[in-house]
Parts: sequence; structure tokens; C-alpha cells
Amino acid sequence: MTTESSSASVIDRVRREVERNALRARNGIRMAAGRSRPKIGTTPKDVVWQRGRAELWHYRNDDVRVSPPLLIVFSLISRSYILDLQPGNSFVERLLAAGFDVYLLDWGVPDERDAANQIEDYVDDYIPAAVERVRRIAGTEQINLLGYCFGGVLSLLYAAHHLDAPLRSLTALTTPVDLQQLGPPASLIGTGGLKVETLLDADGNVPPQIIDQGFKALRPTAQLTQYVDLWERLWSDDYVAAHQAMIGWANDHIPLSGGVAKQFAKMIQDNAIVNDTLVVGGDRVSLSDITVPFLTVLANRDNIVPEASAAPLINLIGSPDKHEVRLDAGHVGLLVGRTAAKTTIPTIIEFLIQRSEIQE
Amino acid sequence: MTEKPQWRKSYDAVERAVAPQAEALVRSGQFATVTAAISGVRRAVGNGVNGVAARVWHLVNLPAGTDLQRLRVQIGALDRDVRRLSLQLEQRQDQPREE
Repeated sequence: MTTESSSASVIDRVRREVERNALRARNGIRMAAGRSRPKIGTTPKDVVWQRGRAELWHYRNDDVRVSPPLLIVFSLISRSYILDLQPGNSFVERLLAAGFDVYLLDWGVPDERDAANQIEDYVDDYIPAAVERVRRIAGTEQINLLGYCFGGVLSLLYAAHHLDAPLRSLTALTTPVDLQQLGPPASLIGTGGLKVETLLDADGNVPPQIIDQGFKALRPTAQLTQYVDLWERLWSDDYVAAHQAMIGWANDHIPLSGGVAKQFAKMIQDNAIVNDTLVVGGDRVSLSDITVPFLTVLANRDNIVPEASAAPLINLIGSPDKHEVRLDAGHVGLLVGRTAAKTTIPTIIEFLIQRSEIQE
Repeated sequence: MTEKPQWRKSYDAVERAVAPQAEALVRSGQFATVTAAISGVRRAVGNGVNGVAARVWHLVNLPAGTDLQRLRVQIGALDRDVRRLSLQLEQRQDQPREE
């Protein structure tokens, strides 16, 4: 390398760093001033049913080509906009583009009226009511059901407790089943070292701060690393928008009903799903009774639902037509970003399309 | 793809060394014991303060915050019963009637 080209590359690098620092300063000021908040959950939708805090959303789609419709059951501890994060980076948007008629059951934000809720409220009352409403609106006999995270657990329990449920297929995304592999907070509860009653707020629910701290304890250095990542790429408008949307969601938990938390603690102590000792509404239920076409998707770098917690699911299901997809991604990366766009979403779409009718 | 800057490489090296130890710490029995103890102390202090405040308000025949919380939880339980009943009624109406 000549002295001339070497000094030119040094000058280029200095110039690039100066430009990036100017962009960092601009984006940093925008973030600090709250002027660069990305728009989230913007896909047009209608509320077609509502009970308590729960709402059934129907996403608008003028080009429905796949039948039966798809009902997504969301988690109880986080906000559902992760499935419709930003235009161009939205699971729901991709499903609509593939011709699906998409519904989402969003649980809203629980308050003291939900403190006594039980898992049976969701599994035996809300989900059947939402399934019925979807069937009625779509005019179909069956539906495809997809559960996300804790919503996956609810969907499994629904399918296992309602063996005559009108399901064409069942998909579980990053769904924990070995509950003793969920990490420190669950271990604490599982060993009896931490009583759920001590975590409840005045309204009888587990406050979102406790849930947030529990997840942060799973990877103590992750928060600092997030800021380091942000500083490194603060010059990029696209990165800042994606970072704000994703980190905003990861810190944006909702309270968990105290009644459900107590039941979940018992499920952790008994490791009831993998030990096949589940009881719903007084009835023994077993995932081995689920015989509808089944897909489970899990991520090997998931620190919210570790791979070890989700991995046993495929062997617990009784369906002859069952499939597992393991991806090199984290909990959020499974549905947002490059891995989601290239692998997760096409895999789910393919699985659903093969078990649905396509209307020309 | 551009190479990572030196400061980032240094951070990653430190993070790789520290993260497993920090994770092992939060997964340890001692951490569990301390967390449970802190949670217990926090609750005991909160209950103590609430108890004193409630006695003061009761002296002047007024309800305390804890009384209102109890009422809200009771109304919440009632609200849940009504909600479940209405959902179950809706399900029955949706089922086809036998002739």
C-alpha cells in the first residue's frame, strides 16, 4: 500500500466518523426530545368483539384468498403491537399480503377487575367466544389458531380442553412448556423461595415493573449492551427507529392477573405441562389429546422463553401431522427483523397455506 | 460489512467475560434468598405504614386507602362473575337448539 492511499483511507475514515457523529448528535437530540418515536401497530383494523378488557381485532384485507381465517391469541404479559410493529416489519402485514383473513385476540391492560381471573376464564370463556365470533364473521366452520408466548399456552390448553374445537390447525410460537426451565424468577417461584402473594400490587395483580425486572434478571448485562449497540449505530435512522420500536416493546409490559399468576406458580411447581398433570376447570387435560395439524416455532437464543423450555412441546402433542422449526434468533427476532422476514414468517405461512383452501 | 471499532471489540470482550458470571449470580440460591428477603421486608414495611395510616383515618371515621382497595377488589370479583356469566350465556345462545 502506498503512503498516498493509506493517508486517503485515514482521511475517509475520519470523514465518515465526523459525519456519523453529527448524525449521532442529531438522532440523540431527537430521541431525548421524544421527537423520533416510531409509529407502531398501524395496520388498519376493526374491533369486532369486546368483553371486559379483551378485544377481538379484525385486520382489514380486501384481498382474502386463504380460508379458513387465522385467529392469533396474544400473551397475557406484553403488548400485541410486536406482531404489527412497523410498516415493512410487521408479521400481521405479511399474513395479510399472503391472503389471510387475520383476527387477533388482545387482552388489554388488566386492572383490579381482573385480579381474580383464572386461566379457565381465558381457556373456557374468552377464547371459545372469540373463536365463535370469528367463525360467524368469516362464515366458516373452522379456523386456524396461532398462540404467541403465553398465548401459546392458552391456545394449547384450549385445544386440549375442547377436543371438539373447530380447529383446522394450531401453531405455537415461542411457547414455554417446561416451566422449570424459564430462568431465575420462575425457579424462585418453583422452589417456593418467592411467594406470588408477595409480588401482588394493591390492585391484586403482578405489576409490570416486577415482570420487567424478572425478564431483565435473565440477562443482567443485556440492558447495558442495548445502549452500547444504540451508541454504535445511533447514526442510522433505520436502526434508531427499529431499536426504539423493539426496545420500547421489550420494556412495555402489562400487569398479570393475580389469580392467573397464582395458578401459573402452581403449574411451575408441578411442572404440570411436561409432567402431564394439567387440570383445567376441574378436568384433567393432556396435550397428547391434541390431534389437529400442529406447528411449534422456537428460537435458540430466546432469553424470555429459553429453548429448553419450549423444546419438549413437539413430543407432548398427539397430532400425527406435527412439525417443529428451531431458528437462530432471540425472542423478539423470531417475529421482527431479518430472521423473521426470511424464515419464520414464510415457514408459518407455508404451513398454514398447505392446510387451508386457496381461493383463486 | 464494516469492521467493528476497537472500543466495541473491547466492550464485547469484557461483556463475554462478565455476562456468564452475572447470569450465574442471579441463578444462585443466595440471590434467590436475598431477593425473597428484600421482597418480604418491603411488604412488611408497606403493611406497617398502611396499618398506621388506616388507624389514623378510622379514628376520624373515614375510610383508608386499604379499605378502598378491598372494595375495588370485591367489585372486581363481582365484575368477573358477571363477565363470565355473560360469556357463558353468549356461548349457549350460539349453540344450535335441539328440536
